Amino acid sequence: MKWALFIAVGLPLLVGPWLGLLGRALGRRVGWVAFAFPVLSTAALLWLAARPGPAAARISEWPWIPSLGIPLAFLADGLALFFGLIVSGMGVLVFWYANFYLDAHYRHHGRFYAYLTLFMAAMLGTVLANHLLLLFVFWELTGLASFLLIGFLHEEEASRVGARQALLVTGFTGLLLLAGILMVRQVTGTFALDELLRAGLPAGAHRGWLTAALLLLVLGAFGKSAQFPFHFWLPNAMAAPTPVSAYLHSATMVKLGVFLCARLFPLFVAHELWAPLLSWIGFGTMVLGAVLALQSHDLKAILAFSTVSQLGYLIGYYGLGATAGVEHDYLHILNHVLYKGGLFMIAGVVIHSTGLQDIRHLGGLGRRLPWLAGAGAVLAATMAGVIGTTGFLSKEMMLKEILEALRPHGTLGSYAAGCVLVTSVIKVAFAARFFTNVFLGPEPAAVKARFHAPPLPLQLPPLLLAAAAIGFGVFPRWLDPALDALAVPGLHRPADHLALWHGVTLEFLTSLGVLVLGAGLYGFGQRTAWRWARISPALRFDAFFEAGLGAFFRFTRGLTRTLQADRPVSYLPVVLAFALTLVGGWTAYALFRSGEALPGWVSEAARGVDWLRAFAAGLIALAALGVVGVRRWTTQVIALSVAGFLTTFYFVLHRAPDLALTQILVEVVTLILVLLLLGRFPRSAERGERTWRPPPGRRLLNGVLAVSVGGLMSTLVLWVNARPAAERVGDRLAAQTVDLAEGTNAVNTTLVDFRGFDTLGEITVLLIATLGALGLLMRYKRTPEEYRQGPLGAPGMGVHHPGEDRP
Amino acid sequence: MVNDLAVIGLELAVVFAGLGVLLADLWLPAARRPHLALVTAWVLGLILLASFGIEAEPVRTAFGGMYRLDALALFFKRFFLLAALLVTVVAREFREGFEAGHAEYHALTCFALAGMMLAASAQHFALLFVALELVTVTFYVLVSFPRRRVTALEAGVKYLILGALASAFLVFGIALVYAATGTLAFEALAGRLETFTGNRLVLAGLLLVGAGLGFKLAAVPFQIWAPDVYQGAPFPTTAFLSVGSKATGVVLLLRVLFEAVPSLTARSGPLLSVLAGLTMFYGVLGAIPQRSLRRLMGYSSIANAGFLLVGFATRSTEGVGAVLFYLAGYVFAVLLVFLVATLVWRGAEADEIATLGGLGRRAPALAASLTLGAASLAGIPPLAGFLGKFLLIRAAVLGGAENPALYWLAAITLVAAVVAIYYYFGLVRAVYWGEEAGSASVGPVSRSARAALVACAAGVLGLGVFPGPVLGWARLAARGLGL
Amino acid sequence: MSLETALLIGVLFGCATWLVLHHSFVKILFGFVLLSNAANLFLLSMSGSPDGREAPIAGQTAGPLVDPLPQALILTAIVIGFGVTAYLVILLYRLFLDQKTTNAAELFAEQDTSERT
Repeated sequence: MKWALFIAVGLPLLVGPWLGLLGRALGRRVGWVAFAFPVLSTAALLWLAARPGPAAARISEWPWIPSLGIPLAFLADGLALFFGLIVSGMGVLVFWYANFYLDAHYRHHGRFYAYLTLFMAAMLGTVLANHLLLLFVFWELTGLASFLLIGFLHEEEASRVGARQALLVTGFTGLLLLAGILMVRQVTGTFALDELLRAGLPAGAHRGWLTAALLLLVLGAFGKSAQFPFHFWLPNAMAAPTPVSAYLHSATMVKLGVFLCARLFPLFVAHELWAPLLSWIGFGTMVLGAVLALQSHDLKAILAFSTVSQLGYLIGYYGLGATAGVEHDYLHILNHVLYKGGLFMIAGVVIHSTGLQDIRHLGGLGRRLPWLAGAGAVLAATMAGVIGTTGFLSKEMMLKEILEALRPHGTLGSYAAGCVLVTSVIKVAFAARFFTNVFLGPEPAAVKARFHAPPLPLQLPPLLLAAAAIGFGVFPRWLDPALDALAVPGLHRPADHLALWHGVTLEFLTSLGVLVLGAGLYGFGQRTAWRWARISPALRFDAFFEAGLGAFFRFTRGLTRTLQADRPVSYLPVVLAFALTLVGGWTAYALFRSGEALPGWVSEAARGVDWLRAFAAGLIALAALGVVGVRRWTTQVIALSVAGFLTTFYFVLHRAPDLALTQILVEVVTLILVLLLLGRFPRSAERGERTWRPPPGRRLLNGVLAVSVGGLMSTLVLWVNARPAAERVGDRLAAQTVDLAEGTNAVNTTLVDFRGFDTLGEITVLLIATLGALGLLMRYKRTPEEYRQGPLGAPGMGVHHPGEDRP
Repeated sequence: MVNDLAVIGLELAVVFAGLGVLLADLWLPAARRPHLALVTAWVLGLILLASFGIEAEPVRTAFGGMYRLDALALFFKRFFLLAALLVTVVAREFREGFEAGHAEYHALTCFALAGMMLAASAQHFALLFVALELVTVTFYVLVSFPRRRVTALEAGVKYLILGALASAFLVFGIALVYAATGTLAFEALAGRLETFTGNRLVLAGLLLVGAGLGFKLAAVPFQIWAPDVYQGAPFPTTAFLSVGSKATGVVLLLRVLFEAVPSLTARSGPLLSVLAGLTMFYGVLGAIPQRSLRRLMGYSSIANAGFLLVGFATRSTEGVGAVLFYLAGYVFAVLLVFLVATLVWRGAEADEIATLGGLGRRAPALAASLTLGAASLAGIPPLAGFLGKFLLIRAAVLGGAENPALYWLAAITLVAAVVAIYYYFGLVRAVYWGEEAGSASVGPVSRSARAALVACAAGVLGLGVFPGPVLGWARLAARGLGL
Repeated sequence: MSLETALLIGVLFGCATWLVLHHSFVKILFGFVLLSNAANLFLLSMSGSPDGREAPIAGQTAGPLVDPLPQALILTAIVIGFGVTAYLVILLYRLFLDQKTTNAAELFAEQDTSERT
C-alpha cells in the first residue's frame, strides 16, 4: 500500500524535477521518459482501487514534522482514487499527446516535462492527502506548477498576463483555504480528514467559527474552480500550450474546487449556508459561462468558458445535494473529462496544423482530417447531450435531479432548474457551432495556405476519448461496477443503475426540447454569422482585475511617497514627535492618575537646592543658549566648549571625580577635532549657510519640539527625584568594593571588575571608530581638478600635498 | 575570572579573528590579501562548528550573572555566525565596490558579530547597551564603507544620526529603569517588578528602551531610516543589516520583554499586536512600488519585522519558537537574494530591478537561486518562509483561545502575507520575463560563492521540507524563556 | 537631587534638540556634542542627590557614598559618545570634500522622493 502510494505520488514528485536536467541531454526525447510517470501512477492507483478493505486500512502515514504533528498522511478512499485515476489517466493521454504536439519548434522540453510531472504529482497529492495542511501544500503546489506551465511561452504578453492572473487568483484564494483549515482545526482540534469524516463537526457554540470556515473553504474552491467572481482567470490561462490547457484547465486542476466541495460535503451539508452559497453562485456561473462561451470566437476560449459553466454546474450540484448524499456526481465529472479533454486536444490538433485559433477563420477541415472530424462529432454531441453518448446520460440525470430538487428547495430549486435549462440550450448551440464551423463548410484560403498534416498519433487520444464517450454512452452498465466500488459513504447514497433508455419520461421530453431549441439558436447564429456575439465590457472581469491591480499599485505608490522621508531633516522631527508622544503621553497619564502634581515635585526638589551648583548650572545653561544664539561657527565652538568644561565642574560638585577627569580629556580632544574640521571649511560655506533659513512654520515646529523635549526631560528628572529611593545595586557595589575587588575607588572597581566586560566593549567601539575614521581619511584621493582648487586644504594623513605632486 | 573567559570563548574567538585579520593585512603582501576573506570565512565556519560542541545544559553564567549561555543564546550565536559567514562571502564578491581596505571590512564584520553574540547572552542592561553600541558603531562604518560613493556616505550620516538618537533613547530608558527600581540585572528586575506597584516610571523607561530596540528591528514607528540606509549601503552591509542587526533587536527584545519585565509584558494589552500590524502593512505596501532592489529589501525588512512581532504578540512559547524558526529561514532567503544581486551587479552602484531582465537566459542557475530566495520570502510552500509564516499564524491562532484579539492579528498577518507575494513576484517576473537588459553575460561565479549559493538554497528548501531539527532547537530555546 | 539639575537638563536637551533639527551639518554636530553632555547629566541625576554623601571612594570617610553604578555607566557613555562624535566629524568632513556643502537640504536635494519610487 505504501509502495503503491509512493510510486503514484512520491516518484513523480522527487524524480520529476530532474527531467529538466535530463532534457539538456535528450532534447525532445525526454518526453518519453516523462511518459513513464503517469503510466506508473495509473497502474499504482488501479492496484489500490482493486484492493478491498475497510476505510481505516486506506490510510498511510510517513512521519514528516512530528513536533507539529504533521505527518505525510494519505487517504486512499473512493473519492481520492476516482479523482486520482482521472488525473493519472488523463495524464497518460496528455503526456502522449504532448510528445507529438511539442515538436522541434519549441524549446526547453526538459523543463516543460518537469513542470508537467510536478503538476501531476501535486494534483495526486492534493486528492490523496489525508492531512488538511498537506492538502493545502499540494494545493498551492498545483497553482505554482500551473503558473510555470501557463507562463511557459513567456515571450508572449498574453501568456504572461494569463499566468499572473492565474497565480494571483489561485494563490490568494488558496490562502483563504488555509485560513479556513486553521479555523476547522481550531474548532475540532484535528487536521486529519479521516477523523473529521468519522466524527463530523461539532454543533452549538462553534456555529460562528464553522460559518466563517465554510465561507473561506468555499472561496478557496471557487478560486481554483474559476467560479464567479474569479471566473476570468481560466480563459486567459489558455495562453498556455494546448496540452497544458487540456490537462490543467479542463480535465484536472480546475476540478480541485469540485473535489474540495465533495470532500466537504459530508461535513457541511447540514449547514444552512451550504446549499444557498454553492447553488446560487454555482448555477449563476453556469449560465454566465455558457453565455460567454456563446459569445467567444476563439476555439480555446469557447472551451474554457464552457468549462467554467460545467464547473459551476458541478459545484451547484453539490450544493443542492440531499443530506443523505448525492448519486451521479462521478458520472457528470467523468463525462466532462471525456468530452472537454477530447475537444481541447482536437482544438490543439487544429491549431497545430493550421496555426489558426479563431473559429470564424476556420472551416472544411473534415475533408482533410476525417478521423478527427469523427471524434469531433462524437465529442460535440456529448457536449450537447445527444442520445447515445455519456453526455445524454449525464443530462438525463441532471434534469432528473434538478426536477427532484424543485420541491425541497423552493425558490432555489426553480432558479437551478431555470439555469440548467437555459445553459443546456446554449450548450447545444455552441457545441454545434464548434463542430460545423471547424470541420464542415467551405475551406477558407488561410486554412488552405497554412495547413500541414498532423501526425496520426497526435489524433489518437481524442479518438480514444470519443470512443469511450460513445461506448459508455451506449452501454452504461459498463460503468456501474467501477462507480459503485468507488462510492464513499457520507457523500453518496446508493444510485439507480444507469440505463440508455428510461422510457418516455419528463426528462426525456425536456431533453428533446432542449435539443430543438439549441438547434434553433445555432441556426439563428449561423444565419447572422454570429455578428452579435461579442463579450460585453461589463462582463470583462479580467479587465476589472487588471485595472484593480493598477489602481492598487498607484495607491501604494502614493502612500509610500506620502509616508517616506528621505532626509534626516525631514524625518528627525517625525521620530522625535513619536517618541515624545509615547513617553510624554505616558508621563502625563501617570501624573494625572497618581494624583501627584508637578508643583509638588518642584517644591520638593527646591528644598535641596545647593547655591554653588545652581550657579554652575546657570552658567552651563547660558553657554548652551549661547551655542543656539550666536551665529559665527567659532563663537559657537567657544560656547560649546565652555558648556563642556563647566559640566566637568558640575561633575565635581556631584561627587564624581572620575567623570570629571574623563570629561576634561574628552572635551579637549573634541574641541581640537571640531576646530580642525571647521578650519578646513572655507568662509563661503559659513556665509552660505546663513543665507538659507528654514520656513517659519518649520522653525516653529522645531521650537515646539525643542521646548517639549526639554520640558519632558526636566519632568522626568523631577519625577525620579520625587520617588522614594529604591534599594540600589550600586550601594551594594560601593559597600563591597574593598572586600571583593580590593580597590577603594568604587567607580574604577565597578568598571574593571564588576563590569569588566563593558570596558572591553568600549575599547572595541573606539577601535572601530578609529578604523572607520582612518579609512575615510587615508583613502581619499583627490582628482587633479580638486588639487587646482587649492584652499580646500590638505585632507591630512597619508595624502600628498598639492605642492609635492606638481613640480 | 578565567572561568568567565571560558564561557565567553566564542565571542573572544570572534574578536581575535577580527584582530588577526587586521594584523595579517599589515604583514601580508598585497597580492595575497584578497585571500583574507576566505580565511575569515573559514575561521567563522570553524567557530560555528565549535559552537555545536557546546552544551546548552546546564546553563552557565559569567561576570556576576550579566552574561548567560543558554539554549536561546546558543541558537542566536549560531545564527549570527552563519549570517556573518555568508556576509563575508558576499563581501568577497563585492570587492570591486570597495576602493580598498577589504581586510578592514572583514574585521569590522567580526567585531559587529561579537557584539551580536554578546547581545544574545545579555542579562543586564549595561551589557545590552554596550553590545548594542558595538553593533551600531560598527554599522556606522560598514554602511559608509565604499568611501568614493556619495550615496554610501550619505547613508552613513543618516544611519549615524538616527542610530545615535536611538542610543540616546536607550540610555535614557536604562537610566529611568535604574532610577525606578535600583537594579539593571534582568533577573533581579523581574523579581522586583512582581512586588512593585508604583511602576509607572519603569514603564516610561521601558518605552524608551523599546524605542531604542525598535530602531534596530526597524519596527513602526522607528522604521523610517530603513529604506534609505539599505539603498545607500553596499550590498553585504545591507544584507548584514537586514539579518544580523535585525536579529540583534529580536533577541534583545525577547530578553527584555520575557526575562526582565515578564509581568509588565503580560499586561501590555494589544500594544505589540498593533505594532505588528502597522509594521507589516507599512512594509508590504511600501515595497510594492519600489524599483531598487535594496530599497525593496528595506521595505521587505520592515514587513518581516512586523511578521516577527506577531510571534512576540502571542507571548507564548509557540510564538517565540516560531520567531526563531522564521529567522532561521529568513537568513538563508535574504542571503540568497543578496548573493545573486552581488554576483549580477558586481560592486556596481546600480540596483534597478529592471536591469535583472533576461537573467533567466543569461544565468539560469542564478535566476533560479534568486527565485528560490524570493519565493521563500514570499512564503510559498513548501519553502522555509512558508513554514515560518505558517508557524507564526498558527501561534496566533492557538493564542486566540485566550486572547481573541490574536485571531484578528492572525487574519491581518495572512492578508499582509498575500500582499507580500505580489512584490516578490515582481522580482521574479523581472528575472524571467523582463526586457533583456545590460551585459550579455554574468561573470564567472567563484567557488566560494557557489558553495554559499548551494548552502542557502539547501537551507531554504531543507528548512521547508525537513524542518524537524531546527524547529526542535527553536522550541528548546524558546522554552528557556519560561513562558 | 535638586531643582537646578532638573532645569539644567531641560535647557540642555532643549538646545540640543533645536540644533539637531537644523539643516546645517555643523549645527547638527554641535547639537550632538551638547546632547551627549545632557545625556551624561541625565544619567548622573539618576544616582540621587549628592548632598550628605561622599565621592565613591571607600575607606576615606565613614559617611555614605554616592551610587557608583550610574557613574560607571556614564564613563562608558562618554567614551562611546566620543567615538561616535569623532567618527561623525570625519564623516562630515569627507562628505564636505565630496559635495562642497554643509547643508543637509542641499546635500540630499538631488534625491527627490519621486525619483526613488
